[in-house]
Amino acid sequence: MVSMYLSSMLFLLSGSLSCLVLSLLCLKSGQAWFIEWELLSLNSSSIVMTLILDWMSFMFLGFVMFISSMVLYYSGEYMHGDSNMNRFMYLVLAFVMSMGFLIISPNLISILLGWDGLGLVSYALVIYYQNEKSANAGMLTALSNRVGDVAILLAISLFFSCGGWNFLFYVENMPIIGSGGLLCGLVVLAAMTKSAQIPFSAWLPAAMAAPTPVSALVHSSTLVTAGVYLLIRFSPALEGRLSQTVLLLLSSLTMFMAGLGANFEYDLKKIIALSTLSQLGVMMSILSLGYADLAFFHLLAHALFKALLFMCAGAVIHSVKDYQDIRMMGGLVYHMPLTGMCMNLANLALCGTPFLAGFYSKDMILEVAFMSPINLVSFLLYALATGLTVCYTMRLVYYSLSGDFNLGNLYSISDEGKIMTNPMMGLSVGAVFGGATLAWLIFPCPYMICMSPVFKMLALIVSVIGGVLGYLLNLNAVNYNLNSLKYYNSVVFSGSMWFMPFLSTYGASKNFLGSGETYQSVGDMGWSEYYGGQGIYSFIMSSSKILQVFQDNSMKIYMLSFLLWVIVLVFVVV
Amino acid sequence: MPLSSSQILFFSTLMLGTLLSISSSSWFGAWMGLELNLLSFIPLISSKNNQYSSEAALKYFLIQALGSSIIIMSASFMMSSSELATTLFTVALLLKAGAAPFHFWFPSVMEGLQWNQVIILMTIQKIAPLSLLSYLLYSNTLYIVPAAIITSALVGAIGGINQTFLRKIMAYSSINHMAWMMSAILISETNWLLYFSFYCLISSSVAILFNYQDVFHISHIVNHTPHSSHMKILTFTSLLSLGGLPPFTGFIPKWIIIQEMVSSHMFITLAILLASALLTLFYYLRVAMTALTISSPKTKWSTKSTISSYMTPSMIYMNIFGLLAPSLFTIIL
Repeated sequence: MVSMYLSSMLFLLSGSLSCLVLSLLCLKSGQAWFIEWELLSLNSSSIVMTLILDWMSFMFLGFVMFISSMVLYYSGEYMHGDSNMNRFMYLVLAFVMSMGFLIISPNLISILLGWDGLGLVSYALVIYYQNEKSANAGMLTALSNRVGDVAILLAISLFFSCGGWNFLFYVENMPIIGSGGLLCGLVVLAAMTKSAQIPFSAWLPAAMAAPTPVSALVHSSTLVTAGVYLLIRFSPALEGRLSQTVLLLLSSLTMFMAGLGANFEYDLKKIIALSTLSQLGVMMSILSLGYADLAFFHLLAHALFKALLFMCAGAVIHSVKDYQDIRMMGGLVYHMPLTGMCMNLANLALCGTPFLAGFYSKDMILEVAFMSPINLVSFLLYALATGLTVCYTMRLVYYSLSGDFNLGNLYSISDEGKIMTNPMMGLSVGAVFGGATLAWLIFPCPYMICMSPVFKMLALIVSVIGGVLGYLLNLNAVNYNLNSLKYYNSVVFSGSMWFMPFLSTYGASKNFLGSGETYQSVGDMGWSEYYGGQGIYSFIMSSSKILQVFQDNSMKIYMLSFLLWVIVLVFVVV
Repeated sequence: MPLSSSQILFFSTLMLGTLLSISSSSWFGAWMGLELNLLSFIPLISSKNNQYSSEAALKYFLIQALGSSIIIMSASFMMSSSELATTLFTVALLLKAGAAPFHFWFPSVMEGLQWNQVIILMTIQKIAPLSLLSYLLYSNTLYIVPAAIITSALVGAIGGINQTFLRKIMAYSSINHMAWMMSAILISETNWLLYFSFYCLISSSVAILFNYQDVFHISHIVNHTPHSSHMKILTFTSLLSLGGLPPFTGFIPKWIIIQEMVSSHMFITLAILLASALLTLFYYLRVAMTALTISSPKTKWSTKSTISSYMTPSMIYMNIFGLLAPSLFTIIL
């Protein structure tokens, strides 16, 4: 019997190859297929299931299928021996299917099939390990995404005035539609929740409670890019709107916040999650500057090397007896050279090292951003975030790969797991060549970049400074002082994602829980008890006690009271 | 318990008194029947060996004698002032029937009786006063009866809440039912007859079951009953039927009375009756709840007596046959 991870890998890989070929054909011929299936007609607006098959959706679909095939193959060893292995596989496949529906559906109603499917399946995957931490993380994930779902639903009702929900046709002339601004705001809000932009960032690192293959697929390359993808399709409508400006500021802040936070994090997966968050900020910000194609480019390239990075992290976690704390690693490059190589490759690609995957997209994004008339705040955030990316990457390299060996005496580190290392090799190819290939395919004529030498060299300079600082500041030994204790408050602030996890859990529920408690004590256990069951009961009981007084055994009083009534009635009647 | 010859004698004179009073054409005749009824009930309940029943017999005698004396007195007013006479008749009959606000004697007399005597007091002894009351309604004593209805409903409901003796609970329940019966009298005699016959069936079935199990207190039901659980279920079916819970028989007469009262626009009285019915149901349930839900320890040597064969079908009949009521009415109409 063929194992499920093998059959899934084969199926997805063949799907991926055909999608990529179709994408190339579409790119070459400029063709696109648009398929509509009318479900019902409501007030002359027809509700349709729409599929768009152009080079963009084919390419994204191909990448998603390629990464998921690698990830599913990889889980064959990572999840080996798990009692619910098949459930895991089916969940991941359901996730890939939802993502597919999301990619090919440019209709605000039919996109819900994929959009809500992603939310539901990602919840099921985050709570895969059934413990309290996973349950909390899952709830945070699901409820944060729910905000975006509600925004989509509201946008659907606003879209009714357009006479149809195929937003692809309406995004070009959105300005002439009455509630266009509000509509764009809602769609941006939805995208921000899915892509974990700043007020909703807390769920992404929390979702690392999921198994690592899930993190590799879901929380790096697919689910979180759904928001970016939606906005790429929506981008013509955003031109010159307030929501675009807000999005630029928030995404730049996200990029900076996540980069800063990653420098104070010790959980291996959370560092990578924060780096994903930072890259999502990059995509969102360049998108809000109006360069949707660059955002798409970076989305694809990032998906390749980030999935690789997560898979390496998974291999490391697997080898070091399920520790995730990077202070418990170190020197791994001597013990697992292949994984170390792949991890280093992914890290370097992430930093934008020339001629690796990240370089083409990231460098272009930075230069285009520096060249466009952006404000000083965004510019500074861009420059700092670029430096911080290299900084936390070098810190990670030091702690896990090159530093001192910090594991216990008993360890079983090796590179022998072929099922885990093979897909890593597959993705490494992507991390090396993906950027260049995509750049040649997507941009047949290159962007015109014209800027002064200082600006041209700026990205390189901040990267080098960041890298050196990141490595040197984190060197440690037993006799060193822990200087971060001197700046305890700022370290806590930066290292806790600017208190966002606290604010989006306790901050969101405090008032509701508090008022619920108040109403329970005032209402349910207070006045409505006093005027309800207990009050009536005590009233009846006290009346009953009064009636009981008449039951004292005094016949004379009974008879006299009767005679009194008789006399009263005689006087009344006569 | 086989009846002695004297008991048979007194029981027949008791019935004779009732029949005499309800079928007589003059108030003297009615008075005579009531006296005969009273004087034959006293030997039925008094016992040399039991001081409680002697006390009850004495109390009963005193109160009924007072009522009878008011009746014979007001019968003599009949020629001079019929208004005064009927008012006094009404009051005296309410006293004899044990309706509030003249109910004081009723629970304490009930407390001294055996269950079979309780059945007589709750059913047969109500026939004469209530029938005579229904004869009086041509006159303008109507304002006394509704007042008695409302007080009976409230006293019956509220007074029973705090009771733990089953006979007292039955007494207050009887007072409450009296309110319903008097409302039925206000509407029509047929309704009263219907309600009264249903009430007789149900309350005697409850009393028969209590008598069979020899219980006089709520805690007896919980702790001391060695009887099977189907006995319990039978008992509480009867109790809930007495409270007027659908689908048991007790609901049918209440339903009819409610409908008739609505069509005669007696809304305020009806509202009070319904609220009080809820309270009575509460204290029946309180009797039932502990016994049904708390499993009581049973000793190994407690005899496991099964219910005698004729009793189960007859009790079930008494409390479930109301379900047949619609078809019953189709036959009658």
